[in-house]
Amino acid sequence: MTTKSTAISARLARLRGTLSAEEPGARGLERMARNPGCQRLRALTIAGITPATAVTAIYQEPDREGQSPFAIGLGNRYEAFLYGAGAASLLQLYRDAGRLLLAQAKVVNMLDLAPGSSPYALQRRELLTRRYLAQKLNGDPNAPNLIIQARLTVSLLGVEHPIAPDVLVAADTDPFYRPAEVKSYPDRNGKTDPSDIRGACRQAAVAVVALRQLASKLGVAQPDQVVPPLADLVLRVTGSFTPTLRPMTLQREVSSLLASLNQAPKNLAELEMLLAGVGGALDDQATLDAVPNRYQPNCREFCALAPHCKAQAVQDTDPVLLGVPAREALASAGSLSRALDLLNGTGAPPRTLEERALQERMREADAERAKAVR
Amino acid sequence: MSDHTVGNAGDSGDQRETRETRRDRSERADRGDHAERLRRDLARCSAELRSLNEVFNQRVVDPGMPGSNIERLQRQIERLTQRQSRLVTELLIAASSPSTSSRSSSSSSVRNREDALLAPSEPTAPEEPSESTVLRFTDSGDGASSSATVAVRHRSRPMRETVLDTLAELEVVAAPRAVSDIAEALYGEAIPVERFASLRRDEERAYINNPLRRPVWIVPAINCVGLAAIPRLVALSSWPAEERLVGSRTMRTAHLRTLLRLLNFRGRAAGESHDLRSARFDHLILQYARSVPDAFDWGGTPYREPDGEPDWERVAAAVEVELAQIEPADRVEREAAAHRLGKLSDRYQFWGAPVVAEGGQIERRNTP
Repeated sequence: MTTKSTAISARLARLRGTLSAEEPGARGLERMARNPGCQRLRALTIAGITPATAVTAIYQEPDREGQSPFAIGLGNRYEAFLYGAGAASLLQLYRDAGRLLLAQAKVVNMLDLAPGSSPYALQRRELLTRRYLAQKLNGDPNAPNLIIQARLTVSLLGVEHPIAPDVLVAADTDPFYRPAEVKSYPDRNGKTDPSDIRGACRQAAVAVVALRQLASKLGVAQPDQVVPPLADLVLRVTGSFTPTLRPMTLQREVSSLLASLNQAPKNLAELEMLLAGVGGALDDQATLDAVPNRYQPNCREFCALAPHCKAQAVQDTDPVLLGVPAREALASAGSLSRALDLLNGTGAPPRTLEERALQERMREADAERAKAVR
Repeated sequence: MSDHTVGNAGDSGDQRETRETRRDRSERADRGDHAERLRRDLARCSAELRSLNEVFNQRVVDPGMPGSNIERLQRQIERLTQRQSRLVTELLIAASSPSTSSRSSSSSSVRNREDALLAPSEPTAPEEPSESTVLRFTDSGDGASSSATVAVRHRSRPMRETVLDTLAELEVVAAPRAVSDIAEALYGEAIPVERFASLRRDEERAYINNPLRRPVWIVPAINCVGLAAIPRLVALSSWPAEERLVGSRTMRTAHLRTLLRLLNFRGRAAGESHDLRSARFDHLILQYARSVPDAFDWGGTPYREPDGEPDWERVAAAVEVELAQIEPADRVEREAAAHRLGKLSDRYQFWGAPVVAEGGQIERRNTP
């Protein structure tokens, strides 16, 4: 570890207080980019605390996040099916799609080369992944076509965080690998749950960023040329384990993730100043509450703190309870109760020009509503 | 505990003697049956070798025959010869083994047999396992099937023997699930997949205690990259190193080779007019052949079900086409790794090299 990253680690440890560092993984990193306005989520991710730990260890509330055991079991079985028999099903999928030729059947499964979850095994997977990717960049025809459970890292504040993309795929003629996310969601064409697709795309975006960072370390001058913002989603036919292949473009997801990562050093300095003013660490409930959040309805898709933040929004009568457009429309009031006061003429009169303008708009809209229902 | 002293409380001496006499007679009858089965198997094995040698002679003089085909046939002849040697040794042991009561543990009788196999004075001490007599197919070379063969299983055959026999039939590295499925189709014996982990540990422990104790061990496959073990794949220690090594294409070639073996098993079972027996393999063949291009015409649904009755010869031809594309490069990689593996000690050649972490630390493994 370099001196710089040691210093960063010490600062992060101070922010965490008594809590141990947790790896965010691809889910944690993409989560941070989903709600860039939420300082609380960013603070936790940067410091190395997952929202689930914040809920249970700091707020002492039950954790309602997480997949059902049935979904987890189904996902594990589906992956075992795809990776079994030398990844026969995956090979067939890519051959049918014309992405791999018959002779391109070089499959490497990291779970075979470095079995187990000991630190040695994980380190070995990282080294082997780096070796194979270097082999590919050097144009070696023996570089694998499919790498299962590779181990990459994403640098955040100079600290390397490991991620494990499900599959990396490359034909012999491809310059480098493309990530593929395997999900056991049924593929319903356009009717597949959009939140599931969003989550999978964002996780794949993390793998794209990781590949670019590694390509850069291996001497590639323009990693974004070698690793375009593309990934594959491998879902399954409804009612069976037959896989389906969906190539996805991830320009927006990759851009938002990169912006989030690039902003992290500034965020760390701001966070330290904020906590210095409050006088605590993130393991303290009052200190964490002092870090501003930005609740929005889709937070429940990806953040364990969503119920807590929603309860806070209810207490504050935050306009976002009526949806994100309502937050923007009622921004000058700041809360639903103030907006009602302005509409009904109760409470204090408008204090600013924006409040007066809002009052007029609401009263006009209310008059239209009354006329319409008469 | 000797059976001569075991008895139920209150038994008379005559009752105990009658029980022992019946038991001895039963054992003698078993040994006679066993010897007879061994002779039949030897006869079939010899016939199969004869036909293989005839095919070999034809291929050798054919200038258009690729060397890889001849080499493959040579390996089949070698394996069949080894099987013949094992059968002869078993026949000798069966003819000379002393009376042992049925109460003696099966492990001690196996040990006796194995010790006999390893005794230096034995002129035909083989290096192969004392396999139990099981289903054997014969191939007269012209596709005609032999007289019907029936699965002959010893009472409560140990799992280890079933695994040995199944791997000997497959001739490629395999995952426990595959071994279990194929053993069930071949012998009607289901092997619990979860028991493979303990089998693997027991084998290595036994090897470390006495490497000469068994002629063949069930060993893990070894990866070509770091020459470390791949615990979830099994092989036989009697195979040449390159057959136990796994490169980047090996899992695919092993899958295809397994499919060819399944087609072979099915063909012979079908020839015995046992529809039920051949049907056991149909499901497995369909499963394995799904990923082989041009093996089937697929129906219009997204579920990839074959359209119409499968053409097994077409499946075999499609497999050979793919094998021709990937097997030569796979063999080159494995032979290069075998050369490196040969420089290691015997233990590491069978059980894989230790994993060395960055900094030179050796990862501790679970086995002693």
